Amino acid sequence: MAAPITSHAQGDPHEHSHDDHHELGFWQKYVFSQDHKVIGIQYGITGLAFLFFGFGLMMVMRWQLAHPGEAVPVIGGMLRAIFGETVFGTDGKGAIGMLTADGYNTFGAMHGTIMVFFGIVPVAVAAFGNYAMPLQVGAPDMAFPKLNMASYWCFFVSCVIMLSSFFVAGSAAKSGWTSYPPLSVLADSGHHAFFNGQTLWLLGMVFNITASLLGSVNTIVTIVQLRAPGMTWMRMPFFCWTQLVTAFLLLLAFPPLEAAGFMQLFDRAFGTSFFMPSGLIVGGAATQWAGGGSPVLWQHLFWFLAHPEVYVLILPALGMVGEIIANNTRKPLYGYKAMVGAIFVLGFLSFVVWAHHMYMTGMGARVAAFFQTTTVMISIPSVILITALLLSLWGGSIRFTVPMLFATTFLPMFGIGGLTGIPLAFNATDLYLHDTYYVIGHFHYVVAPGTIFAIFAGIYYWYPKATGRMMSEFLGKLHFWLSLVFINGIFFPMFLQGMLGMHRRWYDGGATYEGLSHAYSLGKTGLEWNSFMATSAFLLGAAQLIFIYNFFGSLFTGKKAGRNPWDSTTLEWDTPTPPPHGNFDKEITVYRGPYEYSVPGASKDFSPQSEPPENEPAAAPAKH
Amino acid sequence: MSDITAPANETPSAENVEAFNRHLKGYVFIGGLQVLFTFVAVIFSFVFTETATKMSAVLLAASINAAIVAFIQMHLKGEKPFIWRFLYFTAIFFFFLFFLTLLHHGDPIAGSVIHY
Amino acid sequence: MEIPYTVSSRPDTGLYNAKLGVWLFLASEVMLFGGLFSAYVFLRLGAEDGYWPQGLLDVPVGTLNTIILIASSITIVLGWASLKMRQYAKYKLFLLSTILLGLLFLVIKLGYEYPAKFSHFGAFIKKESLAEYEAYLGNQYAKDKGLVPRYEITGHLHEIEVIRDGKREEILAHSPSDIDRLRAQGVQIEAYKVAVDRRNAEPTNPANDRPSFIYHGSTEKIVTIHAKDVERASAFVPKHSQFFAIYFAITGLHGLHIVGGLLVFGYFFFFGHTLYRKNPEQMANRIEVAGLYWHFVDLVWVFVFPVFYLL
Repeated sequence: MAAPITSHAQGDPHEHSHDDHHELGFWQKYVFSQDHKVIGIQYGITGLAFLFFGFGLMMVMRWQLAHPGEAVPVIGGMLRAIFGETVFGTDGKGAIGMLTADGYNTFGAMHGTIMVFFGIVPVAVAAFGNYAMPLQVGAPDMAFPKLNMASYWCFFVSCVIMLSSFFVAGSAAKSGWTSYPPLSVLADSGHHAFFNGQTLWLLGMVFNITASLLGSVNTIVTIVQLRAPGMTWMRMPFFCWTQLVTAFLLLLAFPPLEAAGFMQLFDRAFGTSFFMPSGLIVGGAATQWAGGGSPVLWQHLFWFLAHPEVYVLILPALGMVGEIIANNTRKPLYGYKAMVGAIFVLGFLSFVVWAHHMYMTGMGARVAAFFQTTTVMISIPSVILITALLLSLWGGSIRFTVPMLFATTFLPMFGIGGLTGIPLAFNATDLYLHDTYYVIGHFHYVVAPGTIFAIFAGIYYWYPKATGRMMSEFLGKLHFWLSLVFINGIFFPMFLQGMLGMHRRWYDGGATYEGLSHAYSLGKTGLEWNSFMATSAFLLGAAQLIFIYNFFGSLFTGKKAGRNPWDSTTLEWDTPTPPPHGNFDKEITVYRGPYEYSVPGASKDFSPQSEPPENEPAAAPAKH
Repeated sequence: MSDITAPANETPSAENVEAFNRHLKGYVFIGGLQVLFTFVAVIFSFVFTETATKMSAVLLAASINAAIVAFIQMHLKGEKPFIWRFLYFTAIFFFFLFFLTLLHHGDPIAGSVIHY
Repeated sequence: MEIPYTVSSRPDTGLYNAKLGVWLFLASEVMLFGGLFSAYVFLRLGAEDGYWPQGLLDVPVGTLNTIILIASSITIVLGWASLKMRQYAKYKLFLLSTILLGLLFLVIKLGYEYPAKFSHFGAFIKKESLAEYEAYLGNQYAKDKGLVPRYEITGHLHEIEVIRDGKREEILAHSPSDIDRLRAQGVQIEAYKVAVDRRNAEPTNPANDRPSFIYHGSTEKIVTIHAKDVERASAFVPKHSQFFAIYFAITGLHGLHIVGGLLVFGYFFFFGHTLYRKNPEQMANRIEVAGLYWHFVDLVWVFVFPVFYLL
């Protein structure tokens, strides 16, 4: 049996293929690195940049909705120069830089795609997963370092393709992040056969999916095979459990979308009719597609992935919140075992609920009843998770550090998101709410004040380990409070607009609904709420500048951090700061569970996992 | 600690060669079985005329072939429980993907004309 | 710094890293091809009677390809066994055989099957014009016998009758892709002169009721099909019908997987000796893992062949 070596202290007599025995060049160390920490940071920076870009797209859309028919002030000309005339036209008064209808659709589709696949997944799953997970299980690196590097660069290629799609004739994809045919097959087909927005979108997604798949394989093998001695399954930090289930979801759910994307590419490139129905008339003429296909087939294959995908977006967040709550309440997580069980049930059920996104496609009662049942069932593990996290606060000695502020706020915010999902789960109420702003409010609550707040929590939490410096607490708290207020300002009115019936993805800002009763929208019309939301959006954007300044500035002026500034128990805090190649400077053995805080009789209020028990000298660790 | 076992350039011992020949015979036999079942599938497709029987028979022959590949050539028969458990879950999700979409065909809104 | 369990097995799972990794990857591949197969079922169930063709693929050639892949599966597992027993020369021989068999599969597919499809022509007759072509479709006979209705005339395109500059012309067709070229030139197509396949030459012959094992080429009988009666006509390319769309999608993706596998085997064949010298057990593991991938590709084909060629 091979004992895992995590240092050179033992002096192996035979040669290994090492890269840290010889000095690595700049490119191998910082660009094409095989070290999981460098790769994690690469994913993190790329992902955060895309989150910011996606936010920018949204700000332009919010402006447009609040001021329909008006050009974007000040930067209108610049925007037209960058994005082209399809996207930014001239308004009625002759000012340059009005978001056109096509442009609105383009920005909407790309906002969704970018935030989900190029923002949240790279940051929450790839960046934190790559950086923190191997450290937390006590591994020297991921199981397949070369594959890890290849995954990042595959992802990078997908980023380049997606961004380049803005600069081809007709601009980027504009058929929603959901890319429903026949619109998505027809869109942009008048332009270049290959270099058009939708085709590049499909190609970019193929590369993104491939990178995800390879990353998932790496994550699962690392967690299963590379846990340090003594790290039994039930001693693993909750974050690692969430990464494991997330990786399984990505592994098994992504391929049908890849198959569907392949088929849509065929429809566009070779004129097949996988998704094109018979008898389609566009612009008064029959299309060149023979027909006989099924648009609903795409929806099935898309949502087969996209529903597990939303659990991919939330699970790592739950994991990070769990870590931070345990650390800042100085007590173990309540119901750790129940939480682990809940995420497995959640993962399993997430595969069988997808058609609740398709209630309006003409399905019969039996199919609708099946999906309605499974969808309501899936709320049970979610509630177990949130309740356990909430109960973890009870009786704790709470420290409201910046990570803790974001982590505790996650709970009610995710609660709002989850509870507003219930009317959407039931077919009957969904009939009214489907495709309204209510849906947008629901899922944004889960992802924006939900996952993104958890991501902020994670960044503030692990930044000292990665950089050796603390971020400014004052700026962090300012960032937190401003973000909290303004993010609710954007998304809460969406529920009101939705109940008014205001349709999503429409360019007119709700003008169609002006004449309706405002009983459900607190007396304001849809358009009036848009102004309020746009202002909140801009102020939210401004608040993020504080974060960006804090993030980069603290690299130079932040208070220096030691090995374990948060007095945490998990293994990643038992490395030098920042951790070197190979991670640990000693042999790691795990002696206890991940959240042994305030253990009665212990000399300090936290007992690190790798610290030998106090009363027995270097006692034998528990077997695997 | 060493992950290296036998050195590279030893000449195979007599029992090694014999063991290898046994393996060879075994795998060639398996390959022959597979070719046989391929022909069985082809024959079934021409012998059975009724669609449902033909499909069942041909797919049965193909499944036996596939089982040989999976259990014997890929050594699934002796594989560790972890892999088996994981493959059970994959099979479950595969069947959901495969058959739930069919429910859509079988359960349209009563009286509606459009069949997607 | 060395990653543990790269070669030796971890005691509690009994696996080395790459073995677990490849099975996980194969599970995702099951879902990938599963998605495509479920699309096949969905499309076939949704197809109107008579619009899902049968007998258009070459069964003997498909059977041969299946046998080739089975043989390559055997050779790679024997290659792995040789490596485990440190018989390097035998391993290289078996690996080479696997590569050559894989290449042969691709050559047959890309050199014979696909080009044969691209030169085979099919025209779907409009429902209202079916009676005119009864001599070649035999729908009354099919109805009497309880067979599936026939809407397509297939064969090899001989000539295309066009009207160019007001004059009626007969153009010799080199391949059905000439149709697209002529259309792009704005020429109006009047009729297709097709050397029809056996089923259209003798539609009432009981021998042509169901697809036969031996793939018959087209007959000498030339049939004129007027363009006004044609719903759509093309070679057997992806857009020809749902059947060919999913056929090319699945076999195309499968072919890409074969190419990927051959690249990996090629890399091991040419550059594997260094690792073998350094760590033969790790090399054996690599071949085992690559072999598992190759067996999976074979397994997919074991289903693709009956589903498309036989059913």
